[in-house]
Amino acid sequence: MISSDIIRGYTDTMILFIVSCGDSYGYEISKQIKDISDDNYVMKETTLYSALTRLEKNGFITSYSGMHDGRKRTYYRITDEGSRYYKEKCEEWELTKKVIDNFIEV
Amino acid sequence: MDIIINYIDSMFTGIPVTNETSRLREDITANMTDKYDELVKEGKSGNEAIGTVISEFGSIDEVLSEMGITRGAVPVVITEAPEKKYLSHIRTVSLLAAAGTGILILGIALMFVLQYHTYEKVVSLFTIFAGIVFIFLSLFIRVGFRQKYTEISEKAVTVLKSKYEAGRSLTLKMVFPFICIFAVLFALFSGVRNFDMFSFIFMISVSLNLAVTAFVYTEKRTLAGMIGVTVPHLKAADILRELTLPYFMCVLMSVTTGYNQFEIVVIAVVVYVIMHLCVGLFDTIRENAK
Repeated sequence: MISSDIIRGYTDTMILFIVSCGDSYGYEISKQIKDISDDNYVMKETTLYSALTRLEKNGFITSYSGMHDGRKRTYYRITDEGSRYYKEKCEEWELTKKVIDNFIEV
Repeated sequence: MDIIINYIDSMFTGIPVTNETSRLREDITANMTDKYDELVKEGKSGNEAIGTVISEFGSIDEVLSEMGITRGAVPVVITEAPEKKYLSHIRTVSLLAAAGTGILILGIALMFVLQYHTYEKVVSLFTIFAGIVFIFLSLFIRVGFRQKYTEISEKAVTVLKSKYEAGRSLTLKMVFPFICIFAVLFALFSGVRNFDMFSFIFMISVSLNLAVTAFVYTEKRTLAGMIGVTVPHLKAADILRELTLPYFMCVLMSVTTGYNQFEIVVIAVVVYVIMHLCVGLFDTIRENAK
């Protein structure tokens, strides 16, 4: 399990990736994060919601109310600005990886 | 399931209710419920599932700082009817407790004053009357408390108690200690006039009893908070109070009446037993009525 400290800078990227594949709501997002990371990372409820709040405030996602299995859900949709930000973050990560790799000896 | 709901409730205690936080609470509740259902479906036991769900909650402060919300110093709005009823109930109980003890102590203080003027018959009657008032008040309080406890869950009671304490004005908090202090001073000053061994023992016991009852009725916030001791609500404190009462009655009667010590001990025990029989009887009747 990866510590949340290390991954903090990229929680937004993970969420943006998931909503870019289609509108989604809280639990589905956290479930997909868990699945995609092969159970190596579980996002805490509050981490998820602080990221969602931040992303919405910055205009990277929008939210709307919907129903799923008879329960009221808040769905999230990515905006154009969000897609642009996601691409930026991907490029940033490529660079980060390259830089950090220089210091890694396995 | 209730455990998860209670957990979320406790996490959101003291957080202002806005559209944003209500939605957050709704969403988090839905998520945790989904997660729980799925874990159970995967074959985990209820307890295991609750453990996992709660351990994956995180820290509420993380979201709050993102939302720019600070916790604390928030006016508490209570809307649900049973909660309101409970709050007004503890208010009544506190005032009654203060008044009851006050009446008793004032009666005793008066006894000293009047004894000095040799109105002994009136004196005995008044103190006994005060004692009876006290017994009935404590009976009423005990029964009332038990009744309310069954209406709402213990968890809710704890939350409500803290809300009540938060919403209680300083003046109200001071009512009981004030009555106590006033009565002690009164008793002391009047008692000194015809000082003897009995009044000395009596004053010590009054002070002792006052300390204990004050400790109990201010419900560990004011007095206990001052000396940094906590007593579980209505448990150890209850026992203390009940132990001091018969002792108190003994001393009271030895001063006011012509009975000797042996007779007084018997009377005190009888009073004590009757009091408990009444409480027990009341409880049984109510249980059967349900």
